[in-house]
Amino acid sequence: MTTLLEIRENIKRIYSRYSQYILAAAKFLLAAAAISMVGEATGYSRAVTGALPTLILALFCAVIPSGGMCAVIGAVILVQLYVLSVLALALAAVIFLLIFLLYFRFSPRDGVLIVLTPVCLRLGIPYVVPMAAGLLLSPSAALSIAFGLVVHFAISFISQNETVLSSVDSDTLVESSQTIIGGIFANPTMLVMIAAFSVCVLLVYYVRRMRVAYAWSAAIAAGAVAQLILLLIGDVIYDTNFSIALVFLGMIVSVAICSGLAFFFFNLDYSRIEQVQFEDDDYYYYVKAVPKVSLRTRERTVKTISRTMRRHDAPASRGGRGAQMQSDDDRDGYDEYEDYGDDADAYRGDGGCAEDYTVYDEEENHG
Amino acid sequence: MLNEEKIRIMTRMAMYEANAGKADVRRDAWFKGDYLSKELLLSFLVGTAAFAVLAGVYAFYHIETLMLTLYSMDILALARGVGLRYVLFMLCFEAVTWIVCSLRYERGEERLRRYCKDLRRLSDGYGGKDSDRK
Repeated sequence: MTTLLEIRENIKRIYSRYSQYILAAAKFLLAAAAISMVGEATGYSRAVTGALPTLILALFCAVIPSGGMCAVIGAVILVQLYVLSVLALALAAVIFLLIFLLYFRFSPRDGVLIVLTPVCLRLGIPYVVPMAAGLLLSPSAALSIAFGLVVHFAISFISQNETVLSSVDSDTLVESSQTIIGGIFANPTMLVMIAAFSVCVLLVYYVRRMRVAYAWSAAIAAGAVAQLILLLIGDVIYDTNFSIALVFLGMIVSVAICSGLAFFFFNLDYSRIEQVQFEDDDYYYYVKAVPKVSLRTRERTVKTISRTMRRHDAPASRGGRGAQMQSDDDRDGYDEYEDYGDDADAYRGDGGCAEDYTVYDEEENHG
Repeated sequence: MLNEEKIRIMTRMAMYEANAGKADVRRDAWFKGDYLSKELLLSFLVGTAAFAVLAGVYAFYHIETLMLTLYSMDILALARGVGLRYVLFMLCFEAVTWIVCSLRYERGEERLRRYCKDLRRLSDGYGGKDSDRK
């Protein structure tokens, strides 16, 4: 455990020192993954999803706010769908317009979840997103995740029906549109996932705010169980064809990731709870204080002791505690002294030659 | 000699100014009632546009049925149905706007109060006007 805490403190220190670069790198990776996945799913135009354009766009996304990243990835999707057909472009534009009108007005800061959800879905661990959002964000994150799911399933559906969309003419326009709209918005898998993820975000949020011991662990467990139950019920009722084994595997990985997050963001030592009670003029106070598990990193205090002494003041009489005279081995004209320890200050300010000594005090505190 | 307390206050203030501070100061220029009215009006326009888009998609999806029953349908009943849905949609949207904007305003005010308190402490540290007033 001590090793883990040391690692955590080191990671925190590194993050606080290089947070700008780390955040930019994370945004770069997320944007690159999202654009690559859009290219993989659609791939109608290499002009925006080729290796070089992906790199340039991801670099651009790394230095702009997360709302801008959503806009860039949205534009990439629209360009891809425009190459496929104008109908696909129009449908995607309507979805993005609705997201913009209904959502971005209220909570633009959670916009990164709209990008993160499809990426995690592609990686097979979408369950981590609602649990992490419930732990670290507010309940409104459920809306971002829902929009992320809509975007993912819309792109998937359009790419699966590209033959229908690419051969649309004026006679089949209405029929094709109905097929696509119905396919996107009445997709039972998407609806079941939206319901399960929304319930998970709300449940995790409220459980982790409860004043009980191990609230975060309980929240993670509750979120995982709720998702499992809702996905299984949805599978039974709507025949969504979830692979139970993959759902379980994804859930285990998600729980592990969320436990890691809890370790970094909310690590309390419930074995050392303190209950205190005091009063003022108006109230009695019953306070429960739960200490954080923390480990102060080794503090290295460097004391520079400048010793000055006259050459002929050979400290035979003042060698005293810890000081030991040696012969002038390196022939620099001065005698060497070593191991001054706490007595070193006694030699300060004598005049004559000066030598520097460094004393390292290492202390390790368990908080 | 570095004054750590002063550095801590100034860092906190600079972080606030760089992040939520700008929006809070803009918001603080309004009284709460006026701010909420402005946001509700904006939400009315945005919500109407969103409802129009949703209604358009719905109509397009059911265009065949609409065309077939266009001459036999009760236009007034249709208008009443659409109007009722519009009112319900807008009520929900405006309620969400009111809750979100109220919370946002109150939290912003709280942050701004803390900022002003820090400003006073800093001013006291430099022997500013506020320290004389005490």
